Amino acid sequence: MRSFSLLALAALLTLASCSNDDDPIPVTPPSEGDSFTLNGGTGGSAAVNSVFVDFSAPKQDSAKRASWDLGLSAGSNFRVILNNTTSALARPLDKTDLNAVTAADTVGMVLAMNQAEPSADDFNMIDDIDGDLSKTRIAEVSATEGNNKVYILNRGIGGSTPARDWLKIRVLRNGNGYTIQYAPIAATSFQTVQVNKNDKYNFNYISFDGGAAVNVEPEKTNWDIEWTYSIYKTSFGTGDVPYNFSDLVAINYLAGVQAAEVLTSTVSYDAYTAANIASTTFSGSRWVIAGNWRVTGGPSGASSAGVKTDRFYVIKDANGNYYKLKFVSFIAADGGTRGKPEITFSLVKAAQ
Amino acid sequence: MALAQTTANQQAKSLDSVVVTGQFRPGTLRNSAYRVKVISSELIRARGVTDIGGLLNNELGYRFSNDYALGETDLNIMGMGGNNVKILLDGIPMVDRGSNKQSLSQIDINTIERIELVEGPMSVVYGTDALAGVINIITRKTKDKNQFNAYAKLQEESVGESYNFLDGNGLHQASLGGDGSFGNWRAGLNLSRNDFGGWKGQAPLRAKDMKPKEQWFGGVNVGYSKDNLSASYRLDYLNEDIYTPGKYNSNNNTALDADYITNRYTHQAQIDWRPTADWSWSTSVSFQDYKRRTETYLLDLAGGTKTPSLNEGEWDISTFRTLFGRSLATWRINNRLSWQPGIEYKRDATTGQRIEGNPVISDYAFFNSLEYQPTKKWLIRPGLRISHNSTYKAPPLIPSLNLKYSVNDNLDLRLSYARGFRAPALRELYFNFHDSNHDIVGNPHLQAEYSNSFNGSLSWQVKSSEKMQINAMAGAFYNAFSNRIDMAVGAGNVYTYFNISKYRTAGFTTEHRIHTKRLDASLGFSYIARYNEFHDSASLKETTGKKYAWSPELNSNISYLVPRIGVTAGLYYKFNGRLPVFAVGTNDNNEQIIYLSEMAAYHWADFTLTKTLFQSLTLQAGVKNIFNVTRIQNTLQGGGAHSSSGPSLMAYGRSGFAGIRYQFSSKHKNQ
Repeated sequence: MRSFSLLALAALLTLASCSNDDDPIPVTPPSEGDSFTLNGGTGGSAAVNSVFVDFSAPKQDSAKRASWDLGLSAGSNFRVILNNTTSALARPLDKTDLNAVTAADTVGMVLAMNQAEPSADDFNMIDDIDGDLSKTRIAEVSATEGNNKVYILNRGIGGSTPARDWLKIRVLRNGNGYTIQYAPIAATSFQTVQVNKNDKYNFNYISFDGGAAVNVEPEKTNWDIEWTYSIYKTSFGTGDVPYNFSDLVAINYLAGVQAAEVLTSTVSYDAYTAANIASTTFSGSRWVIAGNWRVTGGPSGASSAGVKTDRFYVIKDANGNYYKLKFVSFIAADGGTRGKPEITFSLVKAAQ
Repeated sequence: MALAQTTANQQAKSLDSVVVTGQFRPGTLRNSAYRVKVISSELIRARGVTDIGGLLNNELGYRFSNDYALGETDLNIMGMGGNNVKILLDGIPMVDRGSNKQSLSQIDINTIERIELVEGPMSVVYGTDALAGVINIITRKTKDKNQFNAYAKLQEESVGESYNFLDGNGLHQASLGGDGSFGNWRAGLNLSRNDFGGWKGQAPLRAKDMKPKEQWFGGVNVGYSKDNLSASYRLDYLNEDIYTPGKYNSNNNTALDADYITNRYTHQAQIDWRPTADWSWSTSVSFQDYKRRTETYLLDLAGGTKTPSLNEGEWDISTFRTLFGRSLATWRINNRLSWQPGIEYKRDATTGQRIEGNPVISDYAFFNSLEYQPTKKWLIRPGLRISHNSTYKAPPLIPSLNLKYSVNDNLDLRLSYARGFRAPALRELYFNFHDSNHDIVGNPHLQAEYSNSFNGSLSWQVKSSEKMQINAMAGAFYNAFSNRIDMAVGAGNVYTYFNISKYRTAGFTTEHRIHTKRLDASLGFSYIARYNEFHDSASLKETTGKKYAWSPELNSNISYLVPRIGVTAGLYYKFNGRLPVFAVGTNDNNEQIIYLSEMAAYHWADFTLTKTLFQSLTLQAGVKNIFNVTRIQNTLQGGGAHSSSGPSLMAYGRSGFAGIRYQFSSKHKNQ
């Protein structure tokens, strides 16, 4: 393995040395398609990885769900997201001095979700499910420092993530970047992390484990869909409540990726061509795929579980390439392995 | 001779037939403080049914529903779920895996003498679950001394249009048994096989809407009676294999097949002792060993290989072991007053991959009832149960009061108040399920659910002569539940258990019956209300404007013995009126609203022809599900809700059946 990496590195260096000076960067044509086994890592239905797929490369990248705590918007706004893939939760305090926050401030605070009996009120502890950045749990970081409140953060236990101690955190602006103050609840001093916006990404991530920036998602033009365990929503019969899901598929909505679900009763996967694009309705909603591609079967038996073979998806990437995407298997009932879904995709139409 | 049996059966039609459910001592229907409904062995035979569900689906207030995935059936009585119904085998509760009443389909119908149905709570005597009612299945026992009986039965039935002789497609039942009595001893044996080939329906490739099921039943019983003592032991064995062929995944040519294999041993022992005319004492002990095994295989249909699939829950053995004992004494203090104290002990133990730990629940109860007859017209029966449970907080006191007033010789009025309760089932407390993306956990903090129930009925014996009997009955009930335990289902097949608020049911029933030598005809009507359980929610927008949704039902059984040819023709009909169900959805403004979803009405009818030859050979043929019911449409009743609930699978369509039964009965001349 190591020798292979070295070989790859050598090849890369050779390539790099070729693309010298003013040589135009060769534009690689979008891939014709491929089949991937997504590397969810261990954990099965609580797979430890989130997997990002770029159809045009084609490639997949994975990142451990528990490897990050906050995502800091690299765009023009100053928004902070919680880790939806560990089901992290936060609540604000009416304080702005981290050192003034003690355990007394968390007495009686509910910062947990009962998976067996979630309540619609629990939405107040998480970011907007649909990814609307104007509705994050942590208010937009204000240029006026005194407006930025302290939040109590539960780093999340979703999908078998080991429980970690609550933290008190506070996010400030730092020029065109961020300063994050954090400390254990009872601590009388705090640590800080500085993050500069790198707008090649949707978000720049930090982890409180090392107190530093971490790589999570690839550059925003280098992924189309993310397969992950995540907090999402469902109805227990009395309206939507937050709920943890495995195998959720999000599209890179912030980068302009769009997707459509196509039923094979309309046109089969094999028969879908560029001519069908005009009659396909695309959506830029984050959860246009979500969990719609599979049936988990609930507690009752194997026979209904499996990928839905009556549908596939068409993805328009941010460059304007169209790919059709089929989920082949994801669970024992459909011949697959939980946590390692098989997908196959194929170029329908390359960008002009 | 076979005649003895016939006479007994005919008696079962009148109000003088003897019942045991909830009685101080076996007594007549007329004198019972409860209104007991009897399904006689004659009706069981005449209907040509192969399981108890097929028999009860014709009863007023009984509704059945199918579990697609598991190939199991659940019932709903008087607007209340199967978990509120107590299933008794000779007075002893049957173990069930979950809150559904699978035990009902796991009893050999050929061993049944009669079924006694009581609607309304009987929690004082029978404890948990006995809220909606009690189904007491009474097994056949030789009553006459020195008699020997044997029977053999073969019944072949189509499943909709699919049928294959004796095996595979269709429904095949074969049964063999005998019993005899010798001096003070009696003994019996029975063996049956039910083979259901399943039904394709609209299932995707390879899968079936109704799962193939094979059942083997075996039973043995012995009894001894002398003077004022009688003792008996009974063992029933069941082996059941429900096969669920997996759907074909065209992406990779695979399918996952599962078998659910149940083995059930039900041991029952009973001793009755009547030392004096005023004292009697009865003790029952049962041990039930229920084991359900899941086996799962991955089939590679291109390569033709079959390998065990070893994911969590795919190879599992769940066991449920229940020890039950009940002892009660009946003391007739004087002509007007009787007292019946009793104690009950129940120990439930369970294991399984999806059960957290190895939980054991013990339940202890003391109960007693008084029967007081101040005058000939009045019967007053108060009762009280005190219980203690090792796990959950048991309801401390369960009272009941039954009143019966005989207006005259032909008119009886019954009124009752009772508190019912249902203990959280082991599964609801400890069931854990993590193999899908939804973590489902049992809720160990569940409490018992309660009901307050009011029942009233008026029974009128319009005419009673040797030649003709006419009876009529009108009744009403109201049940208010609190703390109800429910499995909440949401989008994406999410299930869990909660003590969900309140529920109520109410209803009216009327029944009429005429019985002559050749004709037996009944007509019944019920109108039952189910409560809008979301009504009290502040966060939901009410669009239905209703607190209750009413559903009508009508049934009629007519059997007629055609003179000369000696053929009995039977028509068994039930109209299940539209069934409105309250549900929650989202409207165009993204508001959570309460709306009504309505299951369409449907008719159910069976027709049978029965002919007995040489007093021992019975031939039977008929048509079941004449109206060809398969799926019942669910429609949205306004409100602008976004919700899709597909049609409900009800049955597999019209089918035909034919059966032959040989019955031998001898009585020794000696003694």
